[in-house]
Amino acid sequence: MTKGQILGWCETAKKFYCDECAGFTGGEYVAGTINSLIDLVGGGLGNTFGLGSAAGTFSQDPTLENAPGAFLDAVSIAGLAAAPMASGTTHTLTTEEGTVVRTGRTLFPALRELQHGYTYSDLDFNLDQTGMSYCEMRGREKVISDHYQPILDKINAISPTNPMRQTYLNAASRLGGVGQ
Amino acid sequence: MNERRRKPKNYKEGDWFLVPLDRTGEFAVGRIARANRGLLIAYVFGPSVSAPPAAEDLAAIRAENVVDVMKVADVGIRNLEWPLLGGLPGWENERAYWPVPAFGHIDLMDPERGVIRQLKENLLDYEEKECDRETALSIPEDGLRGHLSAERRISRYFPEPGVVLSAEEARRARAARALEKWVARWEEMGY
Repeated sequence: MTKGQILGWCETAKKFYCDECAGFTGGEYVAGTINSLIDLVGGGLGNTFGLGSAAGTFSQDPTLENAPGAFLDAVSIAGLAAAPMASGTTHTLTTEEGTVVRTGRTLFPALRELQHGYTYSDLDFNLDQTGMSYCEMRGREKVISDHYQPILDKINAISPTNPMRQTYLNAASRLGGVGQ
Repeated sequence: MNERRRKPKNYKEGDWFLVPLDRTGEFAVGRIARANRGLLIAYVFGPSVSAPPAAEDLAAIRAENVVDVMKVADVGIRNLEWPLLGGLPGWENERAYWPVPAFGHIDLMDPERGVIRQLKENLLDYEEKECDRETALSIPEDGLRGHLSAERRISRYFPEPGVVLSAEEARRARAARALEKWVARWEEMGY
């Protein structure tokens, strides 16, 4: 199994990019290894979460007490501002019997785990695949969502009209596994 | 912010706690082996008890006698749904004997592929390696348990007062109950 790598943040598309989707959206890319949430916000993620100039505050003040936004609330509470992050990760929420009732993806598995621990006390949070590129992560989420049909998944993992759809699915197919 | 969700932290590593068991009305005894940012590594022990054990009984419990060990959110303890008993002196010396175990899971899309995930001491970072299915099933199950989910899982080990099932026995008992339910449903449907 060969996994890709997230190369950075596309400021124009407001999306992460990997070697497969680099250049697809064009525009300004912020390249470089992403080591922490601080790096990400410095690279433009703050705007994605509607934080605007709060991103600057974030970089300088890891306690984030004055930063708005539910996302940064969670980061602050979890105390994860400087925690290292993994690359693309997919996860599931399962019942005690092991039934997959929700799937998801994140670049912040530790943070997502903490959020779910508080939100879904009667479910188990399970990391699925880790260390994926952005495209692999999107495709993998689609694959497991289609396979398990989780009842709590409200939206399509990849929109049928998404022009990157096939790229994501192709990336996931390289990860292997039943149903590929 | 978010005071509604987060009660103040009221525990520390090495503390003992009780987990209410829905089947018997008793409690399982647990110990916090590691704690970081709301995540706990909890060792759970039997037999079930109807009242908090004495300090000397707790001191006699060894990690090797664990019924199950799991990563669980701290909500149950913070919200006082899981009674907290507190710690005993000497945890610093004991800590090394209560390790963070390797957890295993089966790949969602490839049932023959197992993964072993070894958490680091901070419970946030980990190392992974692939293994076969049997190996992954033979070690504690990976994943973060919500506290209600953990309660139900732990209850499986204690079907009645004084009885403690092994993980394998609990799995079999659960499978048998599931089969009974399906048979009853099929009979209702006239098969």
